[in-house]
Amino acid sequence: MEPRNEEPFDREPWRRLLEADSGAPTQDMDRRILAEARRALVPRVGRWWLPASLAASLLLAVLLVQWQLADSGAPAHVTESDVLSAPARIAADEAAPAAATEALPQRQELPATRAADMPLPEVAPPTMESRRMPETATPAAPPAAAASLPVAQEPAPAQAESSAVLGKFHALTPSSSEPRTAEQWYADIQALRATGRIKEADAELVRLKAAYPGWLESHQLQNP
Amino acid sequence: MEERDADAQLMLRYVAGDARAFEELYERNRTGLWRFIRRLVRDAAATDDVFQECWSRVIGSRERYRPTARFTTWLYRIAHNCCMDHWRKSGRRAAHETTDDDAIAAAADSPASGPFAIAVADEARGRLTLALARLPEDQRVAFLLYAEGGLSVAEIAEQTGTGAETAKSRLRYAVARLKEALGNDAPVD
Repeated sequence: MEPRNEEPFDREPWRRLLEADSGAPTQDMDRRILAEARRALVPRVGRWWLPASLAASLLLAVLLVQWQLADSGAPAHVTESDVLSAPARIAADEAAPAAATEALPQRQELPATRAADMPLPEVAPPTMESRRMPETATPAAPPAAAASLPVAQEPAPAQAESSAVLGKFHALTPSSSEPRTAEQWYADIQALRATGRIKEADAELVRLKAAYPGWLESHQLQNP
Repeated sequence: MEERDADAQLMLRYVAGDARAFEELYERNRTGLWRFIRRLVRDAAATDDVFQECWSRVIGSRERYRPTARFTTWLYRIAHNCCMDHWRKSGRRAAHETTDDDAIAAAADSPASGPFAIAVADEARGRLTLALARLPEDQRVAFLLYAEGGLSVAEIAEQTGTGAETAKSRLRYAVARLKEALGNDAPVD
Protein backbone atom coordinates (compact mmCIF):
# COMPACT_ATOMS: atom_id res chain seq x y z
CA MET A 1 0.00 0.00 0.00
CA GLU A 2 1.35 3.41 -0.90
CA PRO A 3 1.48 5.93 1.89
CA ARG A 4 -1.05 8.67 1.55
CA ASN A 5 0.07 12.20 0.94
CA GLU A 6 -0.88 13.24 4.43
CA GLU A 7 0.70 10.22 6.06
CA PRO A 8 3.92 10.98 7.91
CA PHE A 9 5.37 7.50 7.28
CA ASP A 10 4.54 4.16 5.73
CA ARG A 11 2.47 2.17 8.21
CA GLU A 12 2.78 -1.26 6.60
CA PRO A 13 6.30 -2.13 7.88
CA TRP A 14 5.22 -1.13 11.35
CA ARG A 15 2.03 -3.13 11.03
CA ARG A 16 3.99 -6.25 10.10
CA LEU A 17 6.27 -5.70 13.04
CA LEU A 18 3.32 -5.32 15.35
CA GLU A 19 1.63 -8.42 13.93
CA ALA A 20 4.73 -10.45 14.68
CA ASP A 21 3.97 -10.10 18.33
CA SER A 22 2.19 -13.14 19.64
CA GLY A 23 -0.98 -12.83 21.58
CA ALA A 24 -4.62 -13.45 20.86
CA PRO A 25 -7.90 -13.74 22.68
CA THR A 26 -8.65 -17.08 24.27
CA GLN A 27 -10.95 -19.59 22.65
CA ASP A 28 -13.40 -19.10 25.47
CA MET A 29 -13.48 -15.41 24.65
CA ASP A 30 -14.06 -16.25 20.98
CA ARG A 31 -16.98 -18.51 21.85
CA ARG A 32 -18.58 -15.90 24.07
CA ILE A 33 -18.39 -13.18 21.46
CA LEU A 34 -19.60 -15.37 18.62
CA ALA A 35 -22.48 -16.62 20.77
CA GLU A 36 -23.42 -13.04 21.57
CA ALA A 37 -23.37 -12.20 17.87
CA ARG A 38 -25.66 -15.12 17.09
CA ARG A 39 -28.01 -14.25 19.92
CA ALA A 40 -28.28 -10.70 18.65
CA LEU A 41 -29.69 -11.96 15.36
CA VAL A 42 -32.54 -13.82 17.03
CA PRO A 43 -35.65 -11.62 17.09
CA ARG A 44 -36.30 -10.42 20.58
CA VAL A 45 -39.50 -11.86 21.96
CA GLY A 46 -39.81 -9.12 24.52
CA ARG A 47 -40.38 -6.48 21.87
CA TRP A 48 -43.92 -7.68 21.17
CA TRP A 49 -44.53 -10.09 24.02
CA LEU A 50 -44.93 -7.50 26.75
CA PRO A 51 -47.46 -5.20 25.05
CA ALA A 52 -49.34 -8.18 23.64
CA SER A 53 -49.68 -9.80 27.05
CA LEU A 54 -50.77 -6.52 28.60
CA ALA A 55 -53.42 -6.05 25.93
CA ALA A 56 -54.67 -9.61 26.40
CA SER A 57 -54.87 -9.17 30.17
CA LEU A 58 -56.77 -5.91 29.80
CA LEU A 59 -59.21 -7.46 27.35
CA LEU A 60 -59.80 -10.41 29.66
CA ALA A 61 -60.44 -8.10 32.60
CA VAL A 62 -62.96 -6.04 30.61
CA LEU A 63 -64.76 -9.17 29.44
CA LEU A 64 -64.95 -10.52 32.98
CA VAL A 65 -66.41 -7.27 34.29
CA GLN A 66 -68.97 -7.17 31.51
CA TRP A 67 -69.93 -10.74 32.15
CA GLN A 68 -70.35 -10.09 35.87
CA LEU A 69 -72.51 -7.04 35.21
CA ALA A 70 -74.68 -8.92 32.73
CA ASP A 71 -75.25 -11.74 35.19
CA SER A 72 -75.94 -9.50 38.16
CA GLY A 73 -79.76 -9.65 37.50
CA ALA A 74 -79.93 -13.44 37.56
CA PRO A 75 -78.96 -15.47 40.60
CA ALA A 76 -75.36 -16.42 40.22
CA HIS A 77 -75.73 -19.32 42.65
CA VAL A 78 -78.27 -21.92 43.79
CA THR A 79 -80.69 -20.48 46.29
CA GLU A 80 -82.25 -22.21 49.25
CA SER A 81 -85.65 -22.36 47.61
CA ASP A 82 -84.15 -24.09 44.59
CA VAL A 83 -82.76 -26.76 46.85
CA LEU A 84 -85.98 -27.13 48.82
CA SER A 85 -88.22 -27.41 45.77
CA ALA A 86 -85.98 -29.94 44.06
CA PRO A 87 -87.47 -33.02 45.83
CA ALA A 88 -91.00 -31.94 44.99
CA ARG A 89 -90.09 -31.55 41.34
CA ILE A 90 -88.40 -34.92 41.33
CA ALA A 91 -91.46 -36.54 42.91
CA ALA A 92 -93.74 -34.95 40.36
CA ASP A 93 -91.52 -36.05 37.52
CA GLU A 94 -91.50 -39.61 38.83
CA ALA A 95 -95.26 -39.70 39.37
CA ALA A 96 -96.13 -38.22 36.01
CA PRO A 97 -95.27 -41.21 33.77
CA ALA A 98 -97.07 -43.69 36.03
CA ALA A 99 -100.15 -41.55 36.28
CA ALA A 100 -100.11 -40.96 32.57
CA THR A 101 -100.13 -44.69 32.01
CA GLU A 102 -103.13 -45.06 34.28
CA ALA A 103 -104.98 -42.22 32.70
CA LEU A 104 -104.32 -43.35 29.15
CA PRO A 105 -107.41 -45.58 28.75
CA GLN A 106 -109.69 -42.93 30.21
CA ARG A 107 -108.27 -40.30 27.95
CA GLN A 108 -108.85 -42.53 24.97
CA GLU A 109 -112.49 -42.79 25.95
CA LEU A 110 -112.88 -39.07 25.98
CA PRO A 111 -113.16 -37.07 22.80
CA ALA A 112 -110.10 -35.05 22.08
CA THR A 113 -111.91 -31.78 22.39
CA ARG A 114 -113.27 -32.74 25.76
CA ALA A 115 -109.91 -33.53 27.24
CA ALA A 116 -109.35 -29.90 27.92
CA ASP A 117 -112.43 -29.85 30.06
CA MET A 118 -110.88 -32.22 32.51
CA PRO A 119 -110.32 -30.76 35.92
CA LEU A 120 -107.02 -29.01 36.50
CA PRO A 121 -104.36 -31.06 38.16
CA GLU A 122 -105.23 -31.85 41.68
CA VAL A 123 -101.60 -31.86 42.66
CA ALA A 124 -101.26 -28.93 44.91
CA PRO A 125 -98.22 -26.75 44.48
CA PRO A 126 -95.68 -27.86 47.00
CA THR A 127 -96.02 -25.99 50.22
CA MET A 128 -93.12 -25.38 52.50
CA GLU A 129 -94.05 -28.45 54.52
CA SER A 130 -94.34 -30.71 51.53
CA ARG A 131 -91.08 -29.33 50.19
CA ARG A 132 -89.28 -30.16 53.36
CA MET A 133 -90.88 -33.59 53.81
CA PRO A 134 -91.91 -34.86 50.41
CA GLU A 135 -91.87 -38.45 51.60
CA THR A 136 -94.67 -37.62 54.07
CA ALA A 137 -97.18 -36.25 51.62
CA THR A 138 -100.69 -35.90 53.02
CA PRO A 139 -102.98 -38.84 52.34
CA ALA A 140 -105.69 -36.42 51.25
CA ALA A 141 -103.77 -35.94 48.03
CA PRO A 142 -104.84 -38.92 45.94
CA PRO A 143 -102.03 -40.66 44.04
CA ALA A 144 -104.08 -40.69 40.89
CA ALA A 145 -104.52 -36.98 41.03
CA ALA A 146 -101.24 -36.60 39.20
CA ALA A 147 -102.80 -38.40 36.28
CA SER A 148 -104.48 -35.23 35.18
CA LEU A 149 -101.15 -33.46 34.89
CA PRO A 150 -100.43 -34.30 31.27
CA VAL A 151 -104.04 -33.71 30.31
CA ALA A 152 -104.09 -30.29 31.85
CA GLN A 153 -100.85 -29.37 30.09
CA GLU A 154 -102.31 -30.04 26.68
CA PRO A 155 -103.51 -26.98 24.80
CA ALA A 156 -107.26 -26.54 25.26
CA PRO A 157 -109.53 -25.69 22.30
CA ALA A 158 -111.35 -22.44 22.64
CA GLN A 159 -114.92 -23.40 23.38
CA ALA A 160 -117.06 -20.89 25.16
CA GLU A 161 -119.34 -23.45 26.75
CA SER A 162 -116.56 -25.61 28.06
CA SER A 163 -114.70 -22.61 29.39
CA ALA A 164 -117.76 -21.44 31.23
CA VAL A 165 -118.37 -24.84 32.74
CA LEU A 166 -114.72 -25.16 33.60
CA GLY A 167 -114.76 -21.80 35.26
CA LYS A 168 -117.76 -22.78 37.26
CA PHE A 169 -116.22 -26.08 38.14
CA HIS A 170 -113.06 -24.35 39.27
CA ALA A 171 -115.11 -22.05 41.39
CA LEU A 172 -116.50 -25.10 43.07
CA THR A 173 -113.11 -26.59 43.77
CA PRO A 174 -111.32 -25.59 46.89
CA SER A 175 -108.21 -23.51 46.91
CA SER A 176 -105.55 -25.16 44.87
CA SER A 177 -103.14 -24.79 47.71
CA GLU A 178 -105.11 -27.32 49.76
CA PRO A 179 -105.67 -30.96 48.84
CA ARG A 180 -109.22 -31.80 47.84
CA THR A 181 -111.07 -34.00 50.23
CA ALA A 182 -113.37 -36.83 49.18
CA GLU A 183 -116.40 -34.73 50.09
CA GLN A 184 -115.24 -31.83 47.96
CA TRP A 185 -114.39 -34.18 45.10
CA TYR A 186 -117.82 -35.76 45.29
CA ALA A 187 -119.43 -32.34 45.32
CA ASP A 188 -117.52 -31.44 42.16
CA ILE A 189 -118.75 -34.65 40.54
CA GLN A 190 -122.26 -33.76 41.44
CA ALA A 191 -121.77 -30.34 39.93
CA LEU A 192 -120.54 -31.93 36.70
CA ARG A 193 -123.49 -34.19 36.66
CA ALA A 194 -125.82 -31.25 37.24
CA THR A 195 -124.43 -29.52 34.15
CA GLY A 196 -125.07 -32.61 32.06
CA ARG A 197 -121.48 -33.78 31.76
CA ILE A 198 -122.38 -37.25 32.77
CA LYS A 199 -119.43 -39.09 31.26
CA GLU A 200 -116.94 -36.80 32.88
CA ALA A 201 -118.78 -37.15 36.17
CA ASP A 202 -118.66 -40.92 35.84
CA ALA A 203 -114.94 -40.84 35.08
CA GLU A 204 -114.30 -38.64 38.07
CA LEU A 205 -116.39 -40.97 40.18
CA VAL A 206 -114.21 -43.90 39.14
CA ARG A 207 -111.15 -41.94 40.17
CA LEU A 208 -112.73 -41.00 43.45
CA LYS A 209 -113.44 -44.63 44.18
CA ALA A 210 -109.88 -45.54 43.37
CA ALA A 211 -108.48 -42.76 45.49
CA TYR A 212 -110.79 -43.28 48.45
CA PRO A 213 -111.82 -46.94 48.45
CA GLY A 214 -114.99 -47.52 50.47
CA TRP A 215 -115.66 -43.86 51.02
CA LEU A 216 -118.46 -43.65 48.47
CA GLU A 217 -120.33 -46.63 49.94
CA SER A 218 -120.13 -45.27 53.45
CA HIS A 219 -121.17 -41.85 52.19
CA GLN A 220 -124.21 -43.31 50.40
CA LEU A 221 -125.11 -45.25 53.49
CA GLN A 222 -124.96 -42.11 55.56
CA ASN A 223 -126.79 -40.05 52.90
CA PRO A 224 -129.24 -42.39 51.22
CA MET B 1 -8.16 -1.55 0.46
CA GLU B 2 -9.97 -4.56 -0.92
CA GLU B 3 -9.60 -6.33 2.42
CA ARG B 4 -11.16 -3.40 4.22
CA ASP B 5 -14.01 -3.38 1.78
CA ALA B 6 -14.36 -7.06 2.41
CA ASP B 7 -14.69 -6.30 6.11
CA ALA B 8 -17.43 -3.80 5.39
CA GLN B 9 -19.24 -6.30 3.19
CA LEU B 10 -19.03 -8.90 5.90
CA MET B 11 -20.42 -6.45 8.40
CA LEU B 12 -23.30 -5.61 6.09
CA ARG B 13 -24.03 -9.28 5.63
CA TYR B 14 -24.07 -9.71 9.38
CA VAL B 15 -26.43 -6.78 9.74
CA ALA B 16 -28.67 -8.54 7.22
CA GLY B 17 -28.74 -11.62 9.45
CA ASP B 18 -25.79 -13.71 8.30
CA ALA B 19 -24.11 -15.05 11.44
CA ARG B 20 -21.39 -16.75 9.42
CA ALA B 21 -20.33 -13.39 8.04
CA PHE B 22 -19.69 -12.18 11.57
CA GLU B 23 -17.60 -15.24 12.30
CA GLU B 24 -15.43 -14.45 9.32
CA LEU B 25 -15.25 -10.78 10.21
CA TYR B 26 -14.27 -11.63 13.74
CA GLU B 27 -11.60 -14.05 12.61
CA ARG B 28 -10.05 -11.41 10.36
CA ASN B 29 -9.83 -8.80 13.10
CA ARG B 30 -9.63 -10.59 16.41
CA THR B 31 -5.87 -10.78 16.90
CA GLY B 32 -5.10 -7.27 15.66
CA LEU B 33 -7.78 -5.74 17.82
CA TRP B 34 -6.78 -7.76 20.84
CA ARG B 35 -3.12 -6.69 20.49
CA PHE B 36 -4.20 -3.10 20.03
CA ILE B 37 -6.23 -3.16 23.23
CA ARG B 38 -3.56 -4.98 25.17
CA ARG B 39 -0.93 -2.41 24.18
CA LEU B 40 -3.21 0.38 25.27
CA VAL B 41 -4.63 -1.13 28.43
CA ARG B 42 -1.50 -3.12 29.40
CA ASP B 43 -3.37 -5.41 31.73
CA ALA B 44 -4.26 -8.96 30.80
CA ALA B 45 -7.59 -9.19 32.65
CA ALA B 46 -8.63 -5.71 31.60
CA THR B 47 -7.68 -6.51 28.01
CA ASP B 48 -10.19 -9.35 27.92
CA ASP B 49 -12.91 -7.17 29.41
CA VAL B 50 -12.31 -4.30 27.03
CA PHE B 51 -11.99 -6.65 24.07
CA GLN B 52 -15.34 -8.25 24.83
CA GLU B 53 -16.96 -4.90 25.48
CA CYS B 54 -15.67 -3.66 22.15
CA TRP B 55 -17.24 -6.51 20.20
CA SER B 56 -20.43 -6.16 22.21
CA ARG B 57 -20.65 -2.58 21.04
CA VAL B 58 -20.00 -3.64 17.47
CA ILE B 59 -22.83 -6.15 17.73
CA GLY B 60 -25.13 -3.75 19.54
CA SER B 61 -24.61 -0.89 17.12
CA ARG B 62 -24.71 -2.98 13.96
CA GLU B 63 -27.98 -1.38 12.85
CA ARG B 64 -26.27 2.01 12.83
CA TYR B 65 -23.29 0.84 10.85
CA ARG B 66 -22.84 2.63 7.54
CA PRO B 67 -19.93 1.73 5.24
CA THR B 68 -18.96 5.34 4.76
CA ALA B 69 -15.54 4.65 6.28
CA ARG B 70 -13.39 1.56 6.44
CA PHE B 71 -14.65 -1.03 8.83
CA THR B 72 -11.37 -1.14 10.71
CA THR B 73 -11.54 2.61 11.25
CA TRP B 74 -14.95 2.18 12.84
CA LEU B 75 -13.78 -0.86 14.81
CA TYR B 76 -10.64 0.76 16.24
CA ARG B 77 -12.52 3.91 17.13
CA ILE B 78 -14.88 1.80 19.16
CA ALA B 79 -11.93 0.01 20.71
CA HIS B 80 -10.26 3.27 21.66
CA ASN B 81 -13.49 4.51 23.22
CA CYS B 82 -13.73 1.30 25.21
CA CYS B 83 -10.18 1.80 26.44
CA MET B 84 -10.94 5.35 27.54
CA ASP B 85 -14.06 4.14 29.33
CA HIS B 86 -11.95 1.55 31.07
CA TRP B 87 -9.49 4.19 32.19
CA ARG B 88 -12.29 6.33 33.52
CA LYS B 89 -13.88 3.45 35.40
CA SER B 90 -10.60 2.26 36.85
CA GLY B 91 -9.80 5.76 38.08
CA ARG B 92 -6.59 5.83 36.21
CA ARG B 93 -4.90 9.12 35.61
CA ALA B 94 -5.51 10.84 32.34
CA ALA B 95 -3.47 9.61 29.44
CA HIS B 96 -1.29 12.69 29.18
CA GLU B 97 -0.29 12.29 32.84
CA THR B 98 1.13 8.83 32.34
CA THR B 99 4.87 8.81 32.87
CA ASP B 100 7.44 6.65 31.23
CA ASP B 101 8.03 4.89 34.50
CA ASP B 102 4.36 3.86 34.61
CA ALA B 103 4.54 2.54 31.10
CA ILE B 104 7.71 0.60 31.77
CA ALA B 105 6.32 -0.90 34.94
CA ALA B 106 3.16 -1.90 33.13
CA ALA B 107 5.13 -3.36 30.26
CA ALA B 108 7.12 -5.43 32.71
CA ASP B 109 3.85 -6.92 33.95
CA SER B 110 2.89 -7.99 30.47
CA PRO B 111 3.60 -11.70 29.93
CA ALA B 112 4.93 -11.05 26.48
CA SER B 113 7.33 -8.37 27.64
CA GLY B 114 8.75 -9.81 30.81
CA PRO B 115 12.50 -10.23 31.10
CA PHE B 116 12.40 -13.92 30.33
CA ALA B 117 10.03 -13.50 27.42
CA ILE B 118 12.14 -10.79 25.96
CA ALA B 119 15.24 -12.91 26.28
CA VAL B 120 13.85 -15.90 24.49
CA ALA B 121 11.56 -14.22 22.02
CA ASP B 122 12.46 -12.28 19.00
CA GLU B 123 14.68 -9.47 20.14
CA ALA B 124 13.25 -6.85 17.84
CA ARG B 125 9.71 -7.75 18.85
CA GLY B 126 10.61 -7.56 22.51
CA ARG B 127 12.29 -4.24 22.07
CA LEU B 128 9.30 -2.93 20.16
CA THR B 129 6.99 -3.98 22.97
CA LEU B 130 9.17 -2.31 25.51
CA ALA B 131 9.60 0.77 23.38
CA LEU B 132 5.85 1.02 22.93
CA ALA B 133 5.37 0.75 26.67
CA ARG B 134 7.80 3.58 27.16
CA LEU B 135 5.97 5.89 24.79
CA PRO B 136 3.77 8.56 26.32
CA GLU B 137 0.15 7.54 26.23
CA ASP B 138 -1.02 10.02 23.61
CA GLN B 139 1.85 9.07 21.29
CA ARG B 140 1.20 5.39 21.80
CA VAL B 141 -2.49 5.83 21.07
CA ALA B 142 -1.77 7.80 17.95
CA PHE B 143 0.83 5.32 16.74
CA LEU B 144 -1.36 2.24 17.36
CA LEU B 145 -4.41 3.85 15.77
CA TYR B 146 -2.28 4.67 12.77
CA ALA B 147 -0.26 1.50 12.37
CA GLU B 148 -2.57 -1.16 13.73
CA GLY B 149 -5.98 0.43 13.22
CA GLY B 150 -5.28 1.98 9.86
CA LEU B 151 -6.76 5.35 10.76
CA SER B 152 -5.65 8.43 8.86
CA VAL B 153 -4.10 11.44 10.56
CA ALA B 154 -7.39 13.30 10.30
CA GLU B 155 -9.28 10.40 11.79
CA ILE B 156 -6.78 10.13 14.64
CA ALA B 157 -7.14 13.83 15.29
CA GLU B 158 -10.91 13.52 15.37
CA GLN B 159 -10.83 10.45 17.55
CA THR B 160 -8.40 11.88 20.08
CA GLY B 161 -9.96 15.32 20.08
CA THR B 162 -6.96 17.16 18.77
CA GLY B 163 -5.94 18.94 15.61
CA ALA B 164 -4.45 17.20 12.61
CA GLU B 165 -1.06 18.81 13.16
CA THR B 166 -0.96 17.65 16.76
CA ALA B 167 -1.82 14.15 15.71
CA LYS B 168 0.81 14.19 13.02
CA SER B 169 3.38 15.53 15.49
CA ARG B 170 2.58 12.76 17.97
CA LEU B 171 3.04 10.20 15.27
CA ARG B 172 6.41 11.60 14.26
CA TYR B 173 7.64 11.66 17.84
CA ALA B 174 6.43 8.12 18.41
CA VAL B 175 8.13 6.76 15.32
CA ALA B 176 11.33 8.56 16.20
CA ARG B 177 11.40 7.00 19.65
CA LEU B 178 10.59 3.55 18.33
CA LYS B 179 13.31 3.77 15.71
CA GLU B 180 15.73 4.82 18.36
CA ALA B 181 14.77 1.87 20.52
CA LEU B 182 14.84 -0.67 17.69
CA GLY B 183 18.03 0.54 16.10
CA ASN B 184 18.83 -1.45 13.01
CA ASP B 185 15.65 -3.54 13.42
CA ALA B 186 13.47 -0.51 12.83
CA PRO B 187 11.51 -0.46 9.53
CA VAL B 188 12.98 1.73 6.87
CA ASP B 189 10.67 4.34 5.35
